[in-house]
Amino acid sequence: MSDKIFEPLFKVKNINRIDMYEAKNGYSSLVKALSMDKEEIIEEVKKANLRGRGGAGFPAGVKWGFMPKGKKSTKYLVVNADEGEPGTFKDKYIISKTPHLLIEGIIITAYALDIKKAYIYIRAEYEKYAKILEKAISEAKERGYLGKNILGKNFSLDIVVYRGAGAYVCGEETALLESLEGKRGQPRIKPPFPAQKGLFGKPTLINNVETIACIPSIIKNGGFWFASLGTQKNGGTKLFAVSGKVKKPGIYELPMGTSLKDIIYKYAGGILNDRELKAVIPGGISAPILKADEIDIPMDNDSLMKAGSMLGSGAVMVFSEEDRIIDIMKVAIDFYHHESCGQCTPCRMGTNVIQKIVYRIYEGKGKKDDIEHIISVSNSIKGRTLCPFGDAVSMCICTMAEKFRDELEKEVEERSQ
Amino acid sequence: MKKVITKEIEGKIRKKMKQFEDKRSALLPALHMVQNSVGYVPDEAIDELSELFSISKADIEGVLSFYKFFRRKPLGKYNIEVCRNVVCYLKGGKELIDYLKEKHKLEPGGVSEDGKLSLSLVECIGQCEIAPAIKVGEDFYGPLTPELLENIIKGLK
Repeated sequence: MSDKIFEPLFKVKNINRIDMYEAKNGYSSLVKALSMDKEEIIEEVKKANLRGRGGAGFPAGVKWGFMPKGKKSTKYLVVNADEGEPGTFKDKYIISKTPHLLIEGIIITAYALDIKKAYIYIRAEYEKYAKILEKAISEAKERGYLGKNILGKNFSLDIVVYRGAGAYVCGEETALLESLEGKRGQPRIKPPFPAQKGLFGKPTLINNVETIACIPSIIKNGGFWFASLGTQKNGGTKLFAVSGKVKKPGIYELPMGTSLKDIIYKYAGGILNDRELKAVIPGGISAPILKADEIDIPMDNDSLMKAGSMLGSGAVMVFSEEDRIIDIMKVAIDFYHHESCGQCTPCRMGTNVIQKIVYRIYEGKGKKDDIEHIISVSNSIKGRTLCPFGDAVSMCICTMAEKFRDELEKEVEERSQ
Repeated sequence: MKKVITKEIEGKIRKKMKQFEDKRSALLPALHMVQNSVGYVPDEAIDELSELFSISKADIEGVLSFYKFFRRKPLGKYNIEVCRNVVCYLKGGKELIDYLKEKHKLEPGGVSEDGKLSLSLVECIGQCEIAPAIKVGEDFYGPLTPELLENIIKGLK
């Protein structure tokens, strides 16, 4: 039994075609699932300790459990393929290399929860990958894995690919639903949660691409097997997208709990040009930055939270001594300022104010109290917005300012004379 | 007068409407179709879509202005989207932008005199492993230097 889920498939040529996928035992998990009790499937997912791979790390089995049971009401499954978190490029690999693994996962999930319609919301920039998905869906339909009476069972499912239009906030699940309804992608007030009132007001399960793509292997080898790959409360392997100043940027499938230090030095080849490591953002730009002496840490949701950061999407961005923190901050605040949906005042105004202060420092016109101001404005956004975007801005900027205060103060002092 | 939403596009939009509980969901796909066909979303399209979807023009304008992928004016034949986010920026993305500004006299949002090229600065396009990266049409290129970028531009006919 392989201890990896994705890499063995990524290596197979033409695995994006259904013939090859079937030849590698593809869709056999679906056949197995269709012979299982629906509750049993949900139980396996709970046993697997599969935590959501989109960023929040919420236990997938528990999320499934929030969905109402039975066939009476219309329910939806929405797969989040928005992948907009800067530094993240893992779902792209799943979609482009093994689209059928995702589709198989969707079918099993829909079967377990009595769902007849699934949508894949994919970011606008991924036209190319959306086409691969559409082709795979039509192949699956031809083989009887989708459509009416799947494999002779009293179970039907359609999958529709829906393209976003370039808004980062649409990766947030309720904003995504608004967008899928053809509206401005502004996050909704919660509760009600999507499992109660989601797409078109119906119960909706929203899961990330990687989360759903783990399902076939859980059904095939069992929830306990999946759980055993990772740490105590973080089952499975994780696709780590490593980028920035490393020798070998790329995608690495490693067990949950792999040390961040190993990811950088053992797998990604160490720091580019043999420079000193300066800092790492471990889970996409919204995950608070770690300093070089903080990387001896297992990469799982709980360990990173304890260290004051986040596993997020598992996007590891590495910075070397050559990189200036003010440059990173400037790009980060430009991003947040540009992407704030404008609905909540603390976020809309806060990003604006922080951007002005950061620009001042960047342009060599910083003032003595600027770093303190950045921290205070960042803190005033936290916990005061409808969606986690506000918290993301706050944590990202605040941690950079606090951890690199010396460097920033020096920047202000030396250049503003 | 020739309509932006041709019979063919209208047929596709109506088919799309059936995939959702509420036909309004087809608005984003419809806007994508218009932009694919014309290169941008012209005012006339908003009038026509307003009628087709039975929603106000202001409502459609609201949706359009929210999503940066939709544009209200034509760009160059080839729009070069350069990622300006952290990884690309630190690995030479800034140099690519400076190069396009100096050598090709392009400004973000602007079009070259011959209409061939335009430049957009975009947020992370999910190509950080090949940073600095750009997107032209549906394709991604990276890691790039100004020289490699120039070669790509020369290849655009």
